[in-house]
Amino acid sequence: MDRGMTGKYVPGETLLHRMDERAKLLAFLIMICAVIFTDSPAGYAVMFVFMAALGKAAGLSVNSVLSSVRRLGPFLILIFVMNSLFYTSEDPIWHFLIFSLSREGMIQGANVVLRIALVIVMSGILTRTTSPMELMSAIESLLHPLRYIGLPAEEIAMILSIAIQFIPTILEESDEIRKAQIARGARFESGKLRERAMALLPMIVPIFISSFKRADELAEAMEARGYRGAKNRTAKEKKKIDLRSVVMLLVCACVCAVQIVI
Amino acid sequence: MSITTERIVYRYDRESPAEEAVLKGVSAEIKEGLITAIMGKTGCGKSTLIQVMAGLLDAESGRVMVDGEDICDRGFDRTALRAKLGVVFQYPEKQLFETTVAKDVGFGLKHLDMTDEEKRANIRWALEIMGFDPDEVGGKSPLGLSGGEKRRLAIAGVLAIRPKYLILDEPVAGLDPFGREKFIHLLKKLKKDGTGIAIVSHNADMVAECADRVIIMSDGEITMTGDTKDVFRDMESVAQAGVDVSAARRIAHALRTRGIGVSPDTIRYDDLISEIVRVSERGGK
Repeated sequence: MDRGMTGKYVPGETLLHRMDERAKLLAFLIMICAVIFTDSPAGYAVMFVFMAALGKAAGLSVNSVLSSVRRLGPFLILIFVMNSLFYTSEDPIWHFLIFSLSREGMIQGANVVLRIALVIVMSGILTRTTSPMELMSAIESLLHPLRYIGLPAEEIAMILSIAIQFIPTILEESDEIRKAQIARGARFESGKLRERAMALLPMIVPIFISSFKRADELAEAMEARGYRGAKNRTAKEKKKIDLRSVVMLLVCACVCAVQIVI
Repeated sequence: MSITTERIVYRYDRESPAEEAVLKGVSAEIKEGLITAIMGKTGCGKSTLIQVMAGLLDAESGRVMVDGEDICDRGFDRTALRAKLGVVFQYPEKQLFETTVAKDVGFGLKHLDMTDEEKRANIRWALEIMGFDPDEVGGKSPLGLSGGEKRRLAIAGVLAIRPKYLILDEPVAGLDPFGREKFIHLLKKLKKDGTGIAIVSHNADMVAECADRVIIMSDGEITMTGDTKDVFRDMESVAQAGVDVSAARRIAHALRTRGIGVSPDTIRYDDLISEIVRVSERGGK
């Protein structure tokens, strides 16, 4: 398995680890709003300083936080180039056929790239300090009020939680299958794009088959253990939100407000 | 000629809080023409060891020599290794993907330097040795076969490259007794043809039945190694590593503690029976 996977939960005892998961998820949503409103250099400076502080509070090194952004480097560069070259401007710096390079386009490209980078960093900090199970219960409790308008909150949470829980299992299994196929002479790394895509077939087919099989088995096992939908299910425990988490939410709300103003 | 590991160290989750050493300087040898069993508790590092041997995991330190060549060398051609060394993983039936049985068995041959004729002959041979009629199943979809058939097919896919060394991880887990017996028979036949075989197994009866040598691992280290008989004779040390000896060996031990003079080298059913017959003919002593 990819041991250095970005965004994978790392158990710990840092300030962010101990915070209430509902508050963390809510703060994440507030911060996404803040990102949407960020569009000035000062705004980005505020955001990056705040992210650095959060990263520090989560006990993460700058390197590990940035590694997820770095992985998407080519994608981010592509977005920047596309925005720069295809922005319709009245005053282009350079024009050739359908391409037109402009200041506005470059600014927009930088905006999009910086926003994506911020969201990646934020989600990285969230998932590195919050276990999938905590995230699930946070989603469930945040969806809870929506029951009154007929949204099946528990079912949604259950589906998500199963999906998330099986990611490591499927990753591990795909790694096993990959090794087995390499041992049989498969080559995943070399060749042209088409060849490489075709070379993935020996992995994709077995993974699909076993995933469907596993889903069937899981459904049977759940039924055998008495699962009858979310009706009458009770929560294991109800946590009260602590002061620290409330403070964090307020800080995030302030950052968001600042972004709206500047 | 052999596969040798020299002081292999391997760690999972390197440089993370969850770092864990699985192999702590393991030196082992898989000889040509012999069956070597690797035994040990779940999590002792057996599967990691065979993956390092097969060049599927890169060790942190130490060397893996296959026929005198270091496979970790930059210049070493891994394709040549694939043609020389076959690996059958746990539940190999999971790796099937081709549209027909013949194609799936032939998958490993694609990148090898062979004529089509040779490839076809290898596929036929592998299917036949695994108990299939090539003309009957060759065109079928592998996914339509039964569980046991899929397992045999997956093994045929590895045998088709006619490897000089064969590494198997828990090959008989989940097979019925009849299938297991046939499988042991197959291993002995391959060994007779000169194949060097390594099996990872918890099944002490199977190990006693076919393995010439045993390596016992515990907590990332080799604690015992030697001829199967010699290793199984020392029941106490074997038990310390969390491994079981064969039922025949246990019965022989129980008989000996009751004063019945069967040989402590009795580890197989057949030997146990002839020992009991021998002793009873001599009037119990």
